Formats: sequence, structure tokens, C-alpha cells
Amino acid sequence: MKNLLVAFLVLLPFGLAAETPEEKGLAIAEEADRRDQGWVDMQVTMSMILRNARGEENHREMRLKSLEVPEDGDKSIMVFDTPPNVQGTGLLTFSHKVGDDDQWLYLPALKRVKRIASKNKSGPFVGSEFAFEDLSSQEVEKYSYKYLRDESLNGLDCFVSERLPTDRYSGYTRQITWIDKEHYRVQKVDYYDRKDKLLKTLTFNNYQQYLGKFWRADSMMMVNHVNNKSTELLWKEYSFQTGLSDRDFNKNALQRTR
Amino acid sequence: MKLRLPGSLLALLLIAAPVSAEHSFEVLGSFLEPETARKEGSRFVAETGLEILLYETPVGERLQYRLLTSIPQDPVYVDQLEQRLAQAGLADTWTLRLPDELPFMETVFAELELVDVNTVAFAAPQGNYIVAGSFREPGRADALVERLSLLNPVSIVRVDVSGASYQRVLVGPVAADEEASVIARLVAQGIEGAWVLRSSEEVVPYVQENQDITPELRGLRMPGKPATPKAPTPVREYEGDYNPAKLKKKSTPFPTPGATSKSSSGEPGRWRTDIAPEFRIFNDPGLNDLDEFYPSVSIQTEYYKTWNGGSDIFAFVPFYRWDGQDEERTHFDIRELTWVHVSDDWELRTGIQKVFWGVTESQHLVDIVNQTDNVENPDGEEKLGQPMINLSLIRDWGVLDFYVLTGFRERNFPGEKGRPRLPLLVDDSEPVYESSAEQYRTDFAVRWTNYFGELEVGLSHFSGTSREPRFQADLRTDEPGIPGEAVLIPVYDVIDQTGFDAQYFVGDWAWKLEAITRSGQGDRFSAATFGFEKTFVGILGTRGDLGVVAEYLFDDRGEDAPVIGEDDVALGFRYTVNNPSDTTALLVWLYDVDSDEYLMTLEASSRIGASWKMILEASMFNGDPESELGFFQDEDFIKLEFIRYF
Repeated sequence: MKNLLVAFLVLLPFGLAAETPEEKGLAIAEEADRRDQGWVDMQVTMSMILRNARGEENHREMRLKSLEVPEDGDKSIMVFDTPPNVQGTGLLTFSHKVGDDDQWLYLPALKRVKRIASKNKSGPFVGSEFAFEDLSSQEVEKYSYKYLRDESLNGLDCFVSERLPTDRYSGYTRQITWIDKEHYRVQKVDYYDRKDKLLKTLTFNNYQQYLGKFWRADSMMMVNHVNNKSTELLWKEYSFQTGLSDRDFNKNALQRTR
Repeated sequence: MKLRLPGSLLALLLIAAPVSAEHSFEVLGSFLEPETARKEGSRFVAETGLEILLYETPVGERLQYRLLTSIPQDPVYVDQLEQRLAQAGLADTWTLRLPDELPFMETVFAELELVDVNTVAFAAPQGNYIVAGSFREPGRADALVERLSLLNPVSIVRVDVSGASYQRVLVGPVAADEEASVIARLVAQGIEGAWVLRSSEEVVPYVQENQDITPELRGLRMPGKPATPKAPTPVREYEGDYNPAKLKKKSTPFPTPGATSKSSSGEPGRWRTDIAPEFRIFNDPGLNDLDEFYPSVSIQTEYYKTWNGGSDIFAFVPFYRWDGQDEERTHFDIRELTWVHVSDDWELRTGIQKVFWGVTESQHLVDIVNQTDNVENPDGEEKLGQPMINLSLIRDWGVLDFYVLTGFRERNFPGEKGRPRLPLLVDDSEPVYESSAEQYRTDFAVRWTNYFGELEVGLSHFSGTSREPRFQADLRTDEPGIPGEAVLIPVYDVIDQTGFDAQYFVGDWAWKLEAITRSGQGDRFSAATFGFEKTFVGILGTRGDLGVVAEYLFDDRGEDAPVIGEDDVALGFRYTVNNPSDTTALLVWLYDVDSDEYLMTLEASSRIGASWKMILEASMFNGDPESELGFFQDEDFIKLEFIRYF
């Protein structure tokens, strides 16, 4: 019944009467999700620039492959190229719409694949300001939503919504998202920690459209307001529909990618 | 909604343009000089976008050179052909029918420098492709792709005409009103003669999958950046439709950063080397009255190459260590020399390699394939390369690995000056084998692994020469009649070992179990390790994670067991600072419940700058000096290692 209602709401134009803020928030998230369906698979390289409060930089390079899984979360493999002490270290993730993600870490020196607890999602990802959960597949079902207001951000008309993580192991009480009305792209996220204090802000810059449909930001900047550190992710060489399949996303694949 | 498949098929027919059984050609012109014909033909190719053939035929007493283009069977395309010819100003053409056995014809290519065309932009319902050039040699198409520095995606498609194939460099798709500007930009880069490939239907650049096109040539590239193999982009209207089966292609390799792939033999190989000087300092000369300062250096190189779109992998990892004190520790090993072939649901790995089995942290009972590189580190974590053939089946019911282990690697032991070592020297010059084949015995192993939600399981069996030797005391005599020195001789039995391992998550607790039963080495015995690992994220308000490991180690041989963990408790603390230098520290406390003896080890590491890593290790043993392991009291050490990555 709830699903029917949701489906009905998605079909309705927004702003129609009798829509609660929660319904509208969910409808916005679902529309954003719907618009990003059909990319099939994706490969991209990522540079991570860690900056401390003094502006000193540290760089990491990694490669990411993802496979769209209809009706469930995506599969992905991330492999480090630099720095050399972590080169070849890989992370395989099967994300799920409902329930915990499955995650395996590959340690190349030991040739060991280790299943890791995906509950530890609130920890920093390789020393960056991104937590594991910030980089995981953002499935609609992982949050509950509430539309707050319309607001202009950098000249773009945006929906501003609040979303609450459904998993109690999340490091956040809530997040505020800015999603532009024209293309339903996330422009900005404010993260509030467990004490409900503003912890971090993530901004998405230079969105590019791929295959005439899918929008991906060239740059994602996470600023930590507490320690004044920041981490920037620069995404390069996006390619879609490259013919990846399940065989590229299992423990064997994790071991041979280096 | 449109029917997509017919659209693709039409486009395929349009581009591939198979020659009909009737062999009808439109003759665009006849010339007496072949060079004139080629020159004119090139112009026609550029102007019309058609495949044009040069046909040499005797007319009367002279040879004539005719420019032909094949006539499609489908009337729709005949109309298009006529339209194209008309637009190019080719009016007086006529139709020629040729017998079934086609004579030799030369394909005419557009010579870029010859062409000067005002390409007409056509209003097509979908975006069109701009053909920037057509080439017979793959290298030339590649070179042109490299030259293009447009924002539009660039792809190479292969087109077959009358058995000859060549490659077109396509830019696009480009909206109808942008075609002129794209062509202008091409001209600005000195690429003239570009033309618009147009159709009334969707155009899908069709790349023939079973042809010998390299992955690179299939690819889309963003010019000006390193060549990244990608598949061509089908031009579709993405209306949320999703059909992976239709898009399923052979997988392309992961783009390797910095690699400019040119050759047809896949990604270029990659070398990585690290050199690591280390210094060990012992607290005491010890029972054998040895030195306390042990300098050493190791070098390891990795060569890694993939080809066939990542379906074949070659890896070579030689390792060498020089030790300033222990000549037994100065050793060379091939850690890896392997060829891996990957298919959809199986993988074949042939050569020397290392495999790891199991889940626990304090000891690795189940892990049995590789011999321990004992001189490298007495903690048992370092392994020698094992020659093998390994077939891995990846199925819905899990991963099943079969191993044929061709040959046995002896365990190495510290020499007379080596530390830490047993009070008696191990003489591994003449080990005793149960198998008459000695170290040439072929061993077998099989392992199945799967996971069910939060449960991860593995079941394995090994049949072969034990990696772990027993020891026989012996007297080493250099000269007959003179009493020799007491030594230990390794004895390698043939064993059968069945192992089971499991890991289960309850919240953020990981519960772990490894159990084995082994026959062939005296009476059958069993051993197990079980415990948990839990990580405290952001401990005490810091960014760091504290992982706690607690495990119980059991062996039913009791005190007779030639291993440390017969009735022991291991407690480990791993602190990850989560800083940019990847600083971690691991403290392990191994406590023998029966004897009260304990071993404490610390390992801390941090990266320094971009290409150095420092590792600090310390080992301390506390036990009864009178006990069997009492000598180990004086083998406490600190190790400092600096790894330089190249």
C-alpha cells in the first residue's frame, strides 16, 4: 500500500495540494534517483586531495568501477594507485537498498581478502574528511526525508530537504540537502553529527552530463567545520557502459585488480 | 515509445552496407589514369561519405579506371544513396552489374589534404556523427583521435566494404545545429574534409565484436587525455529503459593511469620496485652468544601486465634479501610468476604465486598452500612462492578452487649466526621426506568459499607434503670419528588436512573460527582458533579507530604440540590514526594459559613523504628461564625498517 502511494506521488507533479513535507521530500529523492537510472556501468579515476588547516596537501589516487544493479544497491570496486604504501589495496562493496552493505578489503601484501564490518561506516575513509557512508551508494531507502523549503543556491533554484539516516550506526543525526530543480542534482549537503552540531559541508562543483543524461560532478569538496580540514575529490575520465558484468565484481576480481 | 532493436539493426545495415548477391554498383566516373581516378575518388569519398571502390577494367584496347559504389538492396537506402550523390553534384552516374565472382577492387580513401568540401548540415531527427577521417591502417585512425581536442566524444568504428575493412573516426553525436561549428573546429585544427554521417534513423556506431580490433580501437576517447579504453556510446534516448543483456559486451580493462595504450597487445606492462633497509637490535647476546646488531636490506620488484581487455594477466615478483649477519637469511625467491586467464565463471592461474586462506588474526591454521618464509620473519606471515595450477570456478553456490601444487618448497631456517633461532641449529641441507618423490611430489588442494548475508564460510582440504616439519635430533659430523654438533633435521610427512573457517557479523562484532584436523603426522590431531574482532570507530573523540581482537588458540596435542598456540589466548589492539600518513600500530599479547609465559609484539608503521614508509617492530618474550622456551627470553629485539618505493 505504501509503495502504491509512493508511486502515485511520483507521478504527480510537485507542489500539488495534500502533499506533506515528508511525501514531497521522498518524491524529490525518488525523482533524483529515477533520473540517474540506466547508466549500466561506470569506470572513473579519482584524485583525493587532503588539506589540513595549514593548507598542506596530501594526494591519493584511486580507480573506481561500478555496476548498476536494478532493484538493489550498486556493486563497486575501488583500487588505490597511490600513495605506494596502499597501492593495490582494494575495496569491494555490494550495497543494498535494505539491510547492510557487504564489504571486502583486499590486502595485497598478504594476498588476503578480508570481509569487513560495514557497520563501521561512520569512520573516516583513508584519513579523509569523507566517512565510508558518505561515499557509499546513496540509495533512496537509506534515509527518511522531509522537504523544508525552496532556496536559490549559486543561481540555481533548489529544493532544500532534510534526510535522516535509517541506520542507527550512522555517524549523523541528519543531513540537509540542496537539490536543483532543473536536473535534480545534489548541489550541497550539510552533515550534522550525533550531537546535532554542524560537522561538515559537501559541495558539488562543475557538473558534466554524460551520455546525454547522467550528471556527474567533476569535483566534490568536503569541508570539516570542526577541524578546518578539507578533502576534495576530483573525478576524471568517466566512462559509462563499458561492458562490465558480475565477473568484474567478486572476490576474485578484487584480488586480480592492482 | 520507439522500438529500439530495429533502429539499431537499420543503422547496422546502413553502416556495414553488405554487398548484395546481385553485385550492383553505381558508376560515378571513368578515368584513363589511375592517379586521376584515385584523386577524384578521394574527393567523392569525402563529399558523399560513401564507400568508393576503384575498379580496373579493359574497355576496347585500353584500361579504364572506374569509381564505383555498391547499391544497397533496401529501396530506402537506394533513395539515400541517390540523395547523397545528388548533393555531391554527381549527376551522370549509371548502374553496373557484375558477375558473382567479384573482381579485385581497390577501396578509395579520403585524402584529408585533398579535400575541400562545404559539408551541408542536414536536419536529422537525432544527432549525427561527423566523420573526421577514414583509414585502412589502425595506427592512422588512432593518430587522428590523438590529434582531436574537442569536447565531443570521439570513437573509432570499423566498416567493412566488399571484404576490405577500414576505420572511421567519428565525432559526436552532434546536434544538427552544431555540425557546422564542429567541422569548423576540425578545420581550425588542420583536419579538413570532415563530413556528416547522416541517416533518418538513429545511428549507432557499430563495432564488430569478433574482429581483431584492439580494445583501444573500440574506445571512446576524450582527446588530449591518456587513451582510455571505452566502448562506443550507443546513441539512444535514455528514458530510464534498462537492458543489460543488450549492452553486454566484452569487458574492457580498467584504465591504468598514465598509460597511453597504443599496441594491440593490451595495456603496457608496469614495474614497481621497493627497496627496504632494516636494522634489528637484540637485547642480549643470547644462548648462542651472537651479535646484537643485524643490518639487512631487501628489494622487491613487481611487473604487471594485462591484455585481451583484462582477460589475461601476467605478473612477476622477484624478491631478494641480503643480511649482514646470517647467510641463511640472505636469500632470493620468486614470490610470483604467474599467468591468469579470466573467463566469465572460471579463472585459471598458472605459475608461481601466493594464496591466503582463512579469517583469524593470531595464527593461520587453515592457510596451508604456501611455505612460510621463516627467515624473513618468524611470525609466519611471510610466504615463499608456490608453483601451481589453480582452477577457480565462480558459481552461484560459491567459489570452488582446485589446486595442483607442482613441487614442494622447503622451509628455510636461520643459520648459525641467525637470530632469533632455536638453541639447536636446524640443518636443512638433507631434510627427510616421507614421499619418495621428495620435493618433487605433486600435492593437491581444494577449497570452497561462499557467503550468506553476514556469514562467510570456507571449507578446504589439502593432501600432500606438510609445510610444517617435525624435527629429528642428529649429530652433525664433519669428520668420521670426531663427535659432532647436535642439530635438528626437518622431517616432512605426507599429510591430509581438512580445514573449516567461518566469520559471522553480529552488528559490528566479527566472530571468527578456524578449525583443522590433520592426519599423517603422528596421530590424527585437531586444532582451532576462535574469537572476535570489534572496531571502535572514533575512539575517545579522536579520528582514530581501535580494533580489538581476542582469540583462543587450541591444539589437542597439548604441550606436545610443536606450535605456540596449544592452549593460549591472544589479545590484539590495532590503532588506526586515520591521518594522511596512514599511521597504524598493532599490539599483540599472546599468553600461554598453562605456563604463564607470554609473547608481546608491537608493529607500528607510517608513511613519510610520498614514497617512504617506516616500520617499527618490537618483540618481547617473558617466561620461565628453565622452561623449554626459556632461551627465547634473550631474543627480544627491536626492528626498524625503511621502505623506499620507486
